[in-house]
Amino acid sequence: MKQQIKTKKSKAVITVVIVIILTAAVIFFISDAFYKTDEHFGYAMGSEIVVVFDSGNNKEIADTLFSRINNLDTKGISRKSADSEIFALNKNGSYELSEEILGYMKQAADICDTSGGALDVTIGGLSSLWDFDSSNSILPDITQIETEKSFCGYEKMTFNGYTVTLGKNQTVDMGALGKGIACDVAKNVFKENNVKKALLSVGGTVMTYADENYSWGNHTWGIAVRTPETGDSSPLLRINMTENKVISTSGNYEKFFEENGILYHHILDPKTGYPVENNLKSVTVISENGLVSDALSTACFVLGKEYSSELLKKYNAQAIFVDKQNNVYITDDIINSCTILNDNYRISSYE
Amino acid sequence: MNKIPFFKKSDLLIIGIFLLLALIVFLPTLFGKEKALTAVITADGETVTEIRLTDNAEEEIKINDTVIKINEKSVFFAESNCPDKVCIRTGKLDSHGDSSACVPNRVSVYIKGEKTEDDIDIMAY
Repeated sequence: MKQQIKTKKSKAVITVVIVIILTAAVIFFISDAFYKTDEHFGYAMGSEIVVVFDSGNNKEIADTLFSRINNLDTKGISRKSADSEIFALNKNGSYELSEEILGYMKQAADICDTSGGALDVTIGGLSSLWDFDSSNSILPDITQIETEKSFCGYEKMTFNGYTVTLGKNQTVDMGALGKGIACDVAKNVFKENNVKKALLSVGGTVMTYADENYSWGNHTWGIAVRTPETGDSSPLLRINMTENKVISTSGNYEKFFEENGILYHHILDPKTGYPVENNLKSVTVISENGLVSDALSTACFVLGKEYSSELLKKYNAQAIFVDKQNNVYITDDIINSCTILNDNYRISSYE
Repeated sequence: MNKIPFFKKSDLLIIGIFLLLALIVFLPTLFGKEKALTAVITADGETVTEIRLTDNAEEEIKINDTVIKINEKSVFFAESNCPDKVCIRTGKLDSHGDSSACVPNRVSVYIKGEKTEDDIDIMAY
């Protein structure tokens, strides 16, 4: 009799334990299916930054990330911050850079060269003249444009050890690469902190990140590229990604002003000194390297669809060109990962 | 000694009932009426409020010289004193992972929520 009671008791206990474990498993399954993420928001480099970690609470890592990007800008590559290396370079015409910033400058100079000057980091004078960040941008005087244009030219910039020397009256503007470099900095922060998986957006320049041990299985990132029209934030297309990449877009629809019925957008052609005039609305470039992705999106916008393929091949980058007739040209290596989400646009192959 | 099975049929029944109860409690969250998205509004990097984007959501948030409006299932910058107006030009946000910001005023909007494989993780622009 006693024996039986004991068995009953232990049975009851085991039953309860099993039920608790199973219930916990069900709850775990449900919360996992809902993909609980950990988001943090910050500002740096004149951009909003969104970082989405796969799980856990990563506030400290996020704060480190925001301050590192802020340092990159205010102490490194900003042309407006009086503490930055680029500010000192612009002011003195010659300056001994830190190893980090020198590295970015050399990478940038390489792309300036390969793109035949479609990207030109010595465009600072023209950028200041047009001043697209201001509330009352106006069409600059043509003689001023001609003068500033004559100062541009990456080939006049020289490297000697850590010292960079600019051409006469030249100023450097890293604006076309900043968000991309911020992604490269973020990648280091993720690595240092053993982050398993995260998504980052620096003002719309997106980085997908997972550590080497991450097993992708059937999981893909769903990255959308926004429709390149003013006032339309709907997704243009979706790219399925299963790799660590940086996605940068350059378009004519965000920063611009109108004067005498003409729209002046913010992507300047170093060869004319004026905003690029071609048939494109936007160019999106995908690369493992943030600086390359950001720089190429500007360079390809300036070059146009027809003249970009060599540059893209050289840097092993993928691209999406959207023209004013709403054709979306996608390079062959990613065309099968893309789905159009806006019915007004159609996909074509980028040969 | 006679071998009695550790679990009798009645025990299994009880376990089953408990499991069923647990499922019933969490089922609505699994196959909820529809996927609800939430607009996270932040200022100076701190979350100010989170608003569910439901059918008849209607709200206006004034913060750091911007006005953010929630209208049905979308959220957008309606007014801002910033110079570039990029925030207003962005238009209405209504997709998972989408975000917009008024950088000069340090206000941003991000859309999060229950996500399935088909949803977008983040918007690039």
